[in-house]
Amino acid sequence: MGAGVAVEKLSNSWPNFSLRNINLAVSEGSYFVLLGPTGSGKTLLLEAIAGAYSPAEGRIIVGGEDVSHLPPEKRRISYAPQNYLLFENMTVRRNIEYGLHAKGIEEQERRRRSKHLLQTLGISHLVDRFPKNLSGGERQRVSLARALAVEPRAVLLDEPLSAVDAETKNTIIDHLRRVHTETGVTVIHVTHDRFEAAALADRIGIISGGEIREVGSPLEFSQKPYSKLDNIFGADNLISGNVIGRDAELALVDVGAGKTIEALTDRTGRVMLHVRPENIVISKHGVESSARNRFEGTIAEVTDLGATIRIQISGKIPLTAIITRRSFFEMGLNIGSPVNAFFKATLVDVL
Amino acid sequence: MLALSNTEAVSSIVLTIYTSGLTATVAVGLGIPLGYLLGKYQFRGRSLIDSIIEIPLMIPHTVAGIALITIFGSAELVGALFKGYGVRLTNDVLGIVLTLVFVSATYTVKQVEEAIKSLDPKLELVSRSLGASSTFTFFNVTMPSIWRSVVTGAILTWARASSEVGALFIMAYYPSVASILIWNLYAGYGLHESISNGVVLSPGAVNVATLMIFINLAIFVLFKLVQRKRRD
Repeated sequence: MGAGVAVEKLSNSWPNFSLRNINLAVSEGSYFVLLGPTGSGKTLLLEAIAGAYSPAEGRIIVGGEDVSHLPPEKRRISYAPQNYLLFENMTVRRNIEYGLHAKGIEEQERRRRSKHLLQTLGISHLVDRFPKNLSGGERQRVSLARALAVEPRAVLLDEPLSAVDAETKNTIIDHLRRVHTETGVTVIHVTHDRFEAAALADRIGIISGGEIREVGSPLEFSQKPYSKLDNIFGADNLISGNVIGRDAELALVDVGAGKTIEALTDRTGRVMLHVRPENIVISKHGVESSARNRFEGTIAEVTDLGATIRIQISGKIPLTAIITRRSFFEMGLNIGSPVNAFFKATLVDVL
Repeated sequence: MLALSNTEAVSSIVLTIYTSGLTATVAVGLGIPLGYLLGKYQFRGRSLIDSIIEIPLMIPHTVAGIALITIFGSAELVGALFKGYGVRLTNDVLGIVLTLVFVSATYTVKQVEEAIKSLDPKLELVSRSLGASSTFTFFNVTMPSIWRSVVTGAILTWARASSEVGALFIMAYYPSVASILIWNLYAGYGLHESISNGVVLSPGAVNVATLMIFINLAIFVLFKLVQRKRRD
């Protein structure tokens, strides 16, 4: 169902901003997340792909076809904006069937497709409601169903989780995973949230100042603490891995380089782990600890934060920890010092 | 009521309702595309067009009447052209509507323009990305979002048109709409009705004016109802 999307040497200027020489290749059926801070140009790039404007330079290729100068309705790329923009004068069903209605598809087929999507996204009970009576999470699911109903070659999601609460966010992430797997549609998802990106993406593109800085898999980013991702968003401990074993509630996650991490989760398959830097305990020598996870490394960088000090540890799994200034000097740590880093399985966030 | 039994008064009121309605219709026909263009796009000359549309609100309406008659008068450029085809643009229903459109269509254009500006520009992009043409999008997404503004503009235009005097004095004195008849009755016979030997000379400026007040009040109530719905 999906088609590859390629952006080649795209440039476009506005009075106060420019997209410069954007090159992207999103393979057919993949989930690509465009990650960037506010004002980085990620929404403008998405709008170019949707057909809101024709770029001054460069091309947009969808399924091998140059669509750079085609109007939005000829591109077969559904666009789901940040604020959903459901059609307020239509019921949920009419919203979902809108694109099919516009294309002249018969009622029976419209009903079949909308019914399937309503069930998949768990919104069958909302079918006759109007958008003004829906919550943020419900609106998001209707917006997603509306985008998918026309069976597009690609779906563009602009900050789809920015306006929902934390609980709903996890539900929507599950829905996004499921519909992506089921439909095989190519997804380009824009966000400023690196955890959201890590939880969903096959590949991540970092955009900043109107330029693509880096493209890679979540695993690649998690293993590159000094990558541009960190320069843009601040260092953190994002580690990608696969669940390979289990001991009751504890999952054993293979994180590569012959290392494993234990975490409390019932998830299986690929997972993204996150450890808050302040939850990592540092010692200069190997000591007895109840913490299930232990890594050895060398201090590569030290940043004085005042009362605390942030240290970056290079090793098989690069980590960042924040410890008190007193501990740092009591242990006589410095750049190049060998250290052990511990953290409890209960303090590992599984994304 | 004497005014109701007077043929001249009734026909002038009917003419007022008719020409103002026609004006509102023309204003909607012009206002939707023009307001859409001005509200949605930035282009060279946009400010100039915007200013031209606002001019009728700024100038005395007798001046508007003079401006119109220098173009549409039967001896003038456009007027003479139409006269050649047997069409009168002054002192005729067409002249009345032409004048009223000039002085009152602005309200509809501005209402539509503001409504389009207040719409999220991505709304149409969403629709079109789902495969809907720009025409389908306009009628199924844009119009349902702005129709109350269109109705409000039409009502304001109707109300403004029904109260016009200045420009009509110059462009289309005959046939007389109510506002002109009221002035004539007042100037000729004073405020009240005048009857001589059983012949009604004047149904009374105050009587015709009272009737017009009720008609315009009804329109005003309609306007408020539409506004309230729009806020909801």
